[in-house]
Amino acid sequence: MYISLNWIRDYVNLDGIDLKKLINQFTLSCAEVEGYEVKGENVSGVITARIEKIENHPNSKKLHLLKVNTGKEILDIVCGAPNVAEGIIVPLATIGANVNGITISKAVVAGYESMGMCCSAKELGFSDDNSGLYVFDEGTPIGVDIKSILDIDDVVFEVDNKSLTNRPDMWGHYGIAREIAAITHRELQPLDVYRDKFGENNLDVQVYTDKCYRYTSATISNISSKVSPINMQIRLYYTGMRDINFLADITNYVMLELGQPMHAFDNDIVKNIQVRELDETTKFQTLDGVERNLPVGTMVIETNNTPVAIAGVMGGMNSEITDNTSSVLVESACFDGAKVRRTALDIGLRTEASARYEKMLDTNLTEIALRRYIKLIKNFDQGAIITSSMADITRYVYPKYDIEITKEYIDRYVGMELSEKTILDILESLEFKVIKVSEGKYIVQVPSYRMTKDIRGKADLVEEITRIFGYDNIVPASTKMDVKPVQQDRIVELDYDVKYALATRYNFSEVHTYIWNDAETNATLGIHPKSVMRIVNSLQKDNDQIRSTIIPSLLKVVMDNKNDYADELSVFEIGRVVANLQENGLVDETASLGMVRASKASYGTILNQLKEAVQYIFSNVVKAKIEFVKTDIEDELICPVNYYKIMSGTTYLGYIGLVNPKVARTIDNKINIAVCELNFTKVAALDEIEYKFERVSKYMGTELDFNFEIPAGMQYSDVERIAYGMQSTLNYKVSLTNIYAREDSDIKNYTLHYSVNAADHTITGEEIETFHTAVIDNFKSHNINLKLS
Amino acid sequence: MEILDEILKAFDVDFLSVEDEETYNNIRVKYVGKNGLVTEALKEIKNVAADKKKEYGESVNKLKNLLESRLADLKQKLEEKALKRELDEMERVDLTTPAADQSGSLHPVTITRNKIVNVFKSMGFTVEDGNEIETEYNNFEAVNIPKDHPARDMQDTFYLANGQVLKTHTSASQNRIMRKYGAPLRVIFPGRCFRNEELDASHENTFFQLEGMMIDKNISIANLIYFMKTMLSQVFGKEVEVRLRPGFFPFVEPGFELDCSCPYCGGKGCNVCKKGGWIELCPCGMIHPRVLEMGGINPEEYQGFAFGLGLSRMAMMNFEINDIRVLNGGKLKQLKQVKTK
Repeated sequence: MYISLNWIRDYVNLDGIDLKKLINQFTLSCAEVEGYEVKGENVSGVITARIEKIENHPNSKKLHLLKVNTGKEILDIVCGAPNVAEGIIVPLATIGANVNGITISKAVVAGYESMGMCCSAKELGFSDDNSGLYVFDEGTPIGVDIKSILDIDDVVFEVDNKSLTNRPDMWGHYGIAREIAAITHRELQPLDVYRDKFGENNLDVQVYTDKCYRYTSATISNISSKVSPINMQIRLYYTGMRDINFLADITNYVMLELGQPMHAFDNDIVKNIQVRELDETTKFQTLDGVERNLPVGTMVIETNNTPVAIAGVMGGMNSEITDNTSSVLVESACFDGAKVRRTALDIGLRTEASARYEKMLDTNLTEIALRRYIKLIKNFDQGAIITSSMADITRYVYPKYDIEITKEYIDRYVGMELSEKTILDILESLEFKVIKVSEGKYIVQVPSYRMTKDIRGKADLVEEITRIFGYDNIVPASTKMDVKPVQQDRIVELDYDVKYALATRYNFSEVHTYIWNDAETNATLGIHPKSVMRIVNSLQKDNDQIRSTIIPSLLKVVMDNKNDYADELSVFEIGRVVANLQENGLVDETASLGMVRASKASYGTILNQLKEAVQYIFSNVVKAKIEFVKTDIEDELICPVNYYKIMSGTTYLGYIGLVNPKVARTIDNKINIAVCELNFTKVAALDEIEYKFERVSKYMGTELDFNFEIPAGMQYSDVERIAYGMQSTLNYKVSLTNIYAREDSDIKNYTLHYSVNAADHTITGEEIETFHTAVIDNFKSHNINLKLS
Repeated sequence: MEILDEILKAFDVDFLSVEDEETYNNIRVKYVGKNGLVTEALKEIKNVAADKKKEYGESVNKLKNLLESRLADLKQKLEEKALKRELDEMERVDLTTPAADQSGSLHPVTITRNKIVNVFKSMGFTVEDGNEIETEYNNFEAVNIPKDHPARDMQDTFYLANGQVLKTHTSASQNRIMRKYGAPLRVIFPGRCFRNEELDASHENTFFQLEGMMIDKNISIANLIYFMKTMLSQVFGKEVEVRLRPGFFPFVEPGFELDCSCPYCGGKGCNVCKKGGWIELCPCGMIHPRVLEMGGINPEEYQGFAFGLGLSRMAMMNFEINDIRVLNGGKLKQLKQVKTK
């Protein structure tokens, strides 16, 4: 919203105030200023002058040769404007004048010398009108600086509308002036409103809905003015509107001044008013010429039961003010903000009026605005007559908020002591009424324009006091809190440690991918990952399924990067997935750790590398015991024969495996891809192993090697289980030191290394002998034999 | 005594012929070994006259000490020589060749998040993990944004078929966290947020925020200013100034926009601060009494402040990334540049 400081000056004396500082202070105490512009600084030395004589330019059809009277001399001016006429008074930039930042000098135009330039309103920066020269009223003195007639000089600043969301009172100049008065400690001048009698006629107004809080109106006739005063037009232009006609301009002017939208109906067409919510869909042509379908429930203004306006949004073509209008029915109403907002959204039409209504306007404002409207009409059109009494129907009154507050509370909230005088002065400058109940205890009455939704309680009052006091004046202070152990969430701790391990030890790069399935990727890969939840309003139509697995997202990353990293590419992410719904229908969101290694190396190699990374994470970061359990699956994404469940005890944590070659081939013919996905939420819930100190025997032990023939299909985990299943009084540890895959059969040879000792003595040759035999017998009982060399 | 002189003379000759450890060992054994000449000479003491025995013994010992000391010197020289040779022959390894790089990379947001999280942990904060999918209640109502509130217009929300939403701000976790821990409370909760909007260099539909709350009986605006200044100075690694402006956020009252003096130019004006010297960094404020109440905390007894940092934006500032799409773009050539700093 644009604010004109000239307009503000109507209500606050700004003499002696540095305007730049004022605008900065406004940002720090009231609302964010996005920028400001000094209007009129590009214009100087432009005077009023009369065109005395016009001749056609011999070399041009468009140009004219003018004799222009400045009051002191007659100047030759070459002019291209179409509306030149003898006798009109126009702005003339003489030699040395500035227009639009350009200094005017003597110029030769198509062979004729021009001693200056006659200007349009647009060239002077106070209108978009560039159709011809600006023409002053008859009788305007000539030879005077146009700035003595036109209020071109102004400072206009733009307030960020978002920062006014909760401040309906600041959607007009008067409300802004009130704030400026408070921060400059100056007095706010009262509004000049109509206080005389209204007419005799009773206006028939019926309100049939509670969503119309208040409807105030009157009829005015015998209006003869067609255009608004130029300085009003300039203010409207500077603050983002354009002049339309006398009656429309004044409604806009009042809205920009008070924040109260108004509407003027042609009184010849609209003689009575009904406010209601539509009970059937209705077609309606709004003032912008668009025919709209108004849904059931839309609040409309009707006359003789025909809609003439959408309440709070826009009027209709059927009752538009025209040049022939001489009498109007003026509406100054307060509508429910939520209702207006809903309607504006429904029909896709947000207007200056609806933007203001949405903020919840003060019901008191309707009458003030009507009286201000009448005052302005009468100021500029003395013949206007108020023909009706003021029709005023109130259906809803905001609850009153009287807030009890203590100085102790304020000081505690602010964190420093403020004097009572400071507190009271600030509140009163913002027109809050303060009643001192006892020492340090007050009842604060909130002004009506602040209680529509903004000010509700003590904290709101603290805001008023501190922002005007100045946040910069609050002395920063440390908190005092008890020393207590800080609880930390295990998943948060693990999150970074796991990422760090993968990135620093295993060449993995972390990526972030979207929480939805990427339709294009899945089509390319020929996979159909499950999704149990859909986004209903996604801007990207096809990507509306919440993912249940993170792996396809990571395969997309592989696809997008394979040309840059042809040999090896490892990525991971800890992201969220939804694989199930809870019983109550809410999603069961879990964190998922996905790891993908794509490489030209053999699939055995990369699968083992990936396993190593997983094992490291569990041994050293998570500190939990896991098992890889081979399982056969049918899956479009994962290779059916190289797939392992990762278990911790009976808890399923996820899987590791190769990507189905069919899918891998769609990405690249030459690479193998190994993937692992872990339910990180479950991983974080695992109990940490508590490592215990184990006494190292000080007695000499021995080392033994065995070479067994392991039948096809048997895994090392089975072999290990057999090895440790043996009963012995000695301590022993088994490790796998060599695997030899034979060419002649599926049997593999494993070399097992045993470290054997006793806790309390050096073991004897006899004991070794017994142990040796026991190992062989134990394996034999599982049909595993020593390899005969 | 003659024999001793002869031993010494012979030793002088042999001594000169020593070239390496082997020849050294030979003469050491020959003269001072178990059966060496000196030992033999000492055995001869039995043939010496009684009154000369003492003198003879002393002379042999003197000779032995002399020879041993000369041998020790010689050995040291030999060792020095051998070491010199070893060093001369040693290969010169070129450590300026690039080291094999087996490291991957952390995401810029993870690195930045970790840096900020560590600052908060050092100040006694709990770090919480929030959901990405939230109920409408937690995302809106519980932070004082009722239905039809214009604030819901400010953010284009992804709605799910079951009525849940992809959380539009980390504030969606406030209610759950207050209910989990109660008051007093110091907590931060970084998280991923979503807005249903088109992508461009400065807009992403998926981005990170980091929000924090501090609640106790006497938490004040003065505390908030102190705390934000301290925290940001730590994060940026240099002293910064902060200033508050009024800002409207339904879940705080009063609500502020916090500006930080530009850590890159010290407030003089640069590209990062768009010449203004200040960076609009985080919305913050005193937690709205209604929000405390909905979180099960009595606003008459407790008060607190909350703040939100744009974590993605901080990461971009941190690494001078000028296009937000880099963060979710998954292009490793870009992402791998930041390693694990």
